[in-house]
Amino acid sequence: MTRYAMVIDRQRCVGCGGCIIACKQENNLPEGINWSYKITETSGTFPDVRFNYLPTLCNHCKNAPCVRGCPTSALYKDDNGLTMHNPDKCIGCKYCMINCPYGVISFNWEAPHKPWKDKTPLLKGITSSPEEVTKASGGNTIPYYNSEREDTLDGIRPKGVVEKCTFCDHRVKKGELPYCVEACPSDARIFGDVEDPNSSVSKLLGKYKPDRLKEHLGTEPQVYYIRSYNPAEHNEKKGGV
Amino acid sequence: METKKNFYNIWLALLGVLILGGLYTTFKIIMEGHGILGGNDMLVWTMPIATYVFLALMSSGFVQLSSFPAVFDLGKYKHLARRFSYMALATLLAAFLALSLELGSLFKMVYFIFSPNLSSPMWWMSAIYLAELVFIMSKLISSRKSKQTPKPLSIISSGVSVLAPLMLGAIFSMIETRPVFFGLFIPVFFLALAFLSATAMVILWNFILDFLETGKNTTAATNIVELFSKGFEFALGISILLYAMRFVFKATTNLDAFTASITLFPILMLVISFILIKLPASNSNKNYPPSALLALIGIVGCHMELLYDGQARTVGVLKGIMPEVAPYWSNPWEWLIFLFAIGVMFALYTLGEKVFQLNET
Repeated sequence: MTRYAMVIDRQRCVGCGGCIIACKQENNLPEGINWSYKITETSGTFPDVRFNYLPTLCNHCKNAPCVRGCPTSALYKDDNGLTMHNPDKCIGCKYCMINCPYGVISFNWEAPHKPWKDKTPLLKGITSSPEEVTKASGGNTIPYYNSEREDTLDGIRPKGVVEKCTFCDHRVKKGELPYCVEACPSDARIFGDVEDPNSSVSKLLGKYKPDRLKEHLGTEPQVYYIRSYNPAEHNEKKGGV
Repeated sequence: METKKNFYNIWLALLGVLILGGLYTTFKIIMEGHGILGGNDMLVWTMPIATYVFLALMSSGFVQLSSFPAVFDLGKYKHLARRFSYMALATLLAAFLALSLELGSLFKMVYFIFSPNLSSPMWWMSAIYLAELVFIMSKLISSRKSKQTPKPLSIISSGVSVLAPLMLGAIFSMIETRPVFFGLFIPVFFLALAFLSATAMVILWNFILDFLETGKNTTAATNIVELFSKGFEFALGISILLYAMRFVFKATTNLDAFTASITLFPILMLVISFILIKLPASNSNKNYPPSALLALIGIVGCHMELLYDGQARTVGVLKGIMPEVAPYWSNPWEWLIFLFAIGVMFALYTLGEKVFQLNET
């Protein structure tokens, strides 16, 4: 049985945010909603200081508290171990958002992409209105609309429902990688079937000791982090008193 | 007579304003979405949910008040059973109104029946409150002619009225992510608050009703106070004790999640309410209505504080986007929802007194 997982190599991640932008574009995300994001932590004090980047997304937990709590089963686990969401059944109670320990579920507090529905041009007679730009580019609501998202989910989710990362299930079912994995310039994200011992993720999990976010809660997240943030060596020997 | 009519018209006008404000808020929510309310991806549940919890618990308390006399053979309360069943119904409908304005997609509630998730505490809470609604209506219908509710029905509905607050509390108490919510405290506290809020509202509503009917505080209102004073005092004492224990735990723990807010307002209201009725005045019965009002304000404060406490600390990736502790003030639209629900509740109470014969058997 397939169970998809993602391994994130912290040593390779440079914090560029390419995954965030790629995800927003692939899934037609409105302003203010990010299915993929990053936590930037600062460690040390100047001059021995650095940023550490922790890419975050839905962990597609094996024991997903959001699935357990959803009263209408709008959130469910599919056959590949992905935690999926059906907006048609979502009543917008937001219990999943309270249950999620990772803060990766977003709610559509208003109609998405409102600025693109504006009929007023910035400079009358000189520039087009946002609505005209969308029409001219053949988009649906937004000029950069990705219709491939509609294969398995509403292309743009309506107001009043939640949404979250689906591991690009519409791409995975066609044999393609999630778009954040594809877009990463440093190959910091590795995706695959963790039940397949020959997959890249299985091999990496065997080679490096992984850790996961908030493991003590028993959610069994399927996003694993390997290696450390900084591969550099140091010259300090034993310190001093 | 003229004075009584004036008070009554002022009362109806006030309720009308609250309801109109609520209807306008409903229109705004439909047109612009829930973004107009004070919530965000961190503080997800705000005043509308506190309003629902407040009124749903009060409704369960009224069911307890209407059922316990038959269950425990408390003869001197039996004549009020029908009135309390009606008040339970009115309060529960107002609670559902507040909840419906909070839900993002109300009309998909049909999937509650067609796609149930039996592992969800929220599903069970909804099912139990629906059952409570059915039992309340059954009691009202069965007591219409005979003015008495069959004892088996009272026994079942009293069981449901205890289960409902516990299940409502379980929605919070089963969230491992939020240590402030997790554990047995909230269900037990909700059970105490259900009884307290119902007894407080009985005292307050009878004071208001008496005033509307006669323009002054009469013997009828005093009789109600005497009937419910002990229950009110007991519930108030228990609630203060439970809340004070929680306050001590919060103040002594090192866990970050518990230190998001320290507010004295709710417990202050409850304590002042208690002191008022314990004052050694010659006619302390007169202190019960203001005490009841303060207790109800304190209860709303408790709900708001519990909700805020559990959500105020950012979790996960939101730490990079939002402040570590979320600031929150209820905005005018949230207040309008609260007042809308309260207005509808009191309007239904008023309608019940005028149209249905809720008086003694």
